[in-house]
Amino acid sequence: MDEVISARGLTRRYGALVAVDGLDLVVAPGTIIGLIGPSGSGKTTTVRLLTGIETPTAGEAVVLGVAPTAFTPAHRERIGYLPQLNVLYPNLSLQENLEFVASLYGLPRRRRDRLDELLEFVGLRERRRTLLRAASGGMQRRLALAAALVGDPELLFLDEPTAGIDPVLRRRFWDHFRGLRDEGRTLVVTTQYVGEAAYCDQVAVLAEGRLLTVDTPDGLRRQALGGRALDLVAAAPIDPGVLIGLGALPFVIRAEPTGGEGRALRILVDDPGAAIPRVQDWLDGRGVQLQSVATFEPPFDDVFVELVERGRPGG
Amino acid sequence: MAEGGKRWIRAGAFVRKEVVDIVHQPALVVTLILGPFLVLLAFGAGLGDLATEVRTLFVAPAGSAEAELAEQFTTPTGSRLAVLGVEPDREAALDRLAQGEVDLVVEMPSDAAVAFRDDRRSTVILHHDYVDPIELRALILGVNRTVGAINDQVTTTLVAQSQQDTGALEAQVAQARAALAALRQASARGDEAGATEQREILSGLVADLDADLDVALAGDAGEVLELQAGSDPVEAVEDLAGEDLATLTRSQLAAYEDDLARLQEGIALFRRLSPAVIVQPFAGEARSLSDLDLRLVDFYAPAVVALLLQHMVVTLVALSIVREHGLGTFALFRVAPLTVGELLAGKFAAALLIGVVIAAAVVALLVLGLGVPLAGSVGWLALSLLAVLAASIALGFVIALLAQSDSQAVQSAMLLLLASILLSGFVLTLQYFRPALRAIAWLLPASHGVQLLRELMLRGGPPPWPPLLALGAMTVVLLGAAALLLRRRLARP
Repeated sequence: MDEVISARGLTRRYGALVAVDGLDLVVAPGTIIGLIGPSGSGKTTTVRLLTGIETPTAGEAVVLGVAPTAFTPAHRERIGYLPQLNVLYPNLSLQENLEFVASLYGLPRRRRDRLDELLEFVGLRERRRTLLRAASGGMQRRLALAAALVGDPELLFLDEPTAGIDPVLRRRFWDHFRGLRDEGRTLVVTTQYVGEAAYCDQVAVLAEGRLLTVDTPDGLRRQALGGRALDLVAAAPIDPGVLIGLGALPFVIRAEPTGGEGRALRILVDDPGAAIPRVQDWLDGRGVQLQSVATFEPPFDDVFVELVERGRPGG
Repeated sequence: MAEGGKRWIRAGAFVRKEVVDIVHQPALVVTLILGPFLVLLAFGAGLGDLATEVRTLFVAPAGSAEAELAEQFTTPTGSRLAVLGVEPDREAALDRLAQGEVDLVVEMPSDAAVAFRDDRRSTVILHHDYVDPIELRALILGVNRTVGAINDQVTTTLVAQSQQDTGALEAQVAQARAALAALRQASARGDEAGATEQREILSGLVADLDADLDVALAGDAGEVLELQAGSDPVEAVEDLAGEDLATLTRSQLAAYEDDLARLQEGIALFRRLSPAVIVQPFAGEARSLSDLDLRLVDFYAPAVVALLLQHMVVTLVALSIVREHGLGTFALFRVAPLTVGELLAGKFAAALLIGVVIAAAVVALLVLGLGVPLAGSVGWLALSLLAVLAASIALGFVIALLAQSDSQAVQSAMLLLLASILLSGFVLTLQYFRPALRAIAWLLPASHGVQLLRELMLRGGPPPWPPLLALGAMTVVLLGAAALLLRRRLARP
């Protein structure tokens, strides 16, 4: 199979509201794709369309070779789903809730050692007898993640799996997700933590129901800045004429001062590895001595904001 | 694992989940099991005898015959009327009725004796303040019984008087018989002088007897007298009075003697019978084929069980489905490898299991705790309870899947309970309803349940098949409808 998920012109409308607008997306097997976007951007609706919970108003999606609305139980056995909201039973203990979901996936009771492993993984083994209604929001989220994993699925839809989870456990989750990816599983993850885009193989940025771009995390940075950034610091203030000349070089996209009493500047290039020695040579030839050269990795928050702003009508 | 095994596991997930859900709520368990029993216990303990006393006041002029008659009712007679006394002032009696001090005022006619002599009926007026039509109907029955008792009292007095009066009549008949015999014997001897003497005696006796019989036969007692003696002997006296005694042969005299003998026997019988038997020769007595001796709580307990089981599982199922919707678990079900049939089967089995446990506990508490009879077999009872539960669960599914919210589901369940209380035969038997409403009543599982459980618990024997079959058909149809609705609900975001 070439792709696990493909969507073409996928659209979902609720009356006048367009929740997802003409989404085109292809997800290869064995990848983690992150869906990132502001609240109301259509992330959850996209997940619901791809899992068959929602029916598209227009366009089509093919998941595991069939339209989600035509999933059979055999298809669904291959899918794990973590809903955005906690949907388990408040009067059941954490273990009983997990056992219920395991039974929905046909897991016999004699194979329930897997439940212990999952509870251990999400750090709830000691609290497994706690009733869900007495569990914190974070605990409920962790349990929901364990429930999504209980069927050992090859395709996982995780709608904000790390919401309300502490950073240490969040990191552990992502390590686990990448482990699952390395086993050949495919994960579709929505997140409100933009920084988590770095853990994904592909990131789809959505805003107002539209898919703005899909790229690798590095690719997104490049898109946001218009190239790769190099921060240069000279030993003495740089002459403005030199700055203009630097910006005019064919492998430099843009050059601008960044402060440091006229000693610091940032340049954008396509290929930092090739550009750094050539820049150093060019500056040496003009008597400018560099103290430091470093690639600049903008925070994903900035990348995200830049891409979303740019994606807005008139942006 | 084979798909068949997974189906069982998936459906079983709901059984386990629903049971655990209830077990984790001890208060709910207590409410579900002890609640119905306590309701019935309160009902059984709190319900008094249906024949509650009707505080009654008679109105009749002081010292009148009517007052004397009314006084006789102040002695308890076993009827519902508890007569507080006789009040001469009508307005005062009606005031007491208005104040709620008495329940019934019986206004006796003031001119009953005159009306009787004038061949008119007198009316006994009953004043009350009842609004409950059932209670009023019972009161009217009681009132008719009371007026009947007054009539009987009057008639009994008259009959007793007639019995005294007919003492002389009997003696007259005996004398006439003796004179006839003496006349026949004188004729046989050829004693013409003796015969003439006896004819004169007999002529006088027969004329008096004829006249006295006319008077006696004119009253109520005359009918009884005629019934006892037959009409021939009475006519024979008339005939004898009209005969020329000198022309009668000995065989004719003998025939008249027989007639008078029968008349004498009839009069003797009339005098020997008690006036009460003459006035009320028949008494009614109800006997049941099943020889039942039931308390009110015995009669109502099976109906309450049917009603409570229906309400309990309908509410349980309805809330369970609506809550799934509220929690958002339907989204989980849509993604999981779960079919509508498995979901429905799991929920159905869970509710049935819970219902069976509760039904068993409630019936056991009723039979062992309240002494409600269980005349039928436990097996038939179990089958009937299963049928009621199955149809009710299926109905609960439909209600829940049509409801849009928790409150709508609960309101629908309450509406169903109200309809079931009024229409299931719990309060009034279905025969009282018009056919159209009766048809609606038969759409309620509780209606069939009431019929089945009353039959099984009170009469014994096998259950009637129509309600069992109706419940089975209802279960199949409603589950089919529920499956369609659930499919639609799951498809709807």
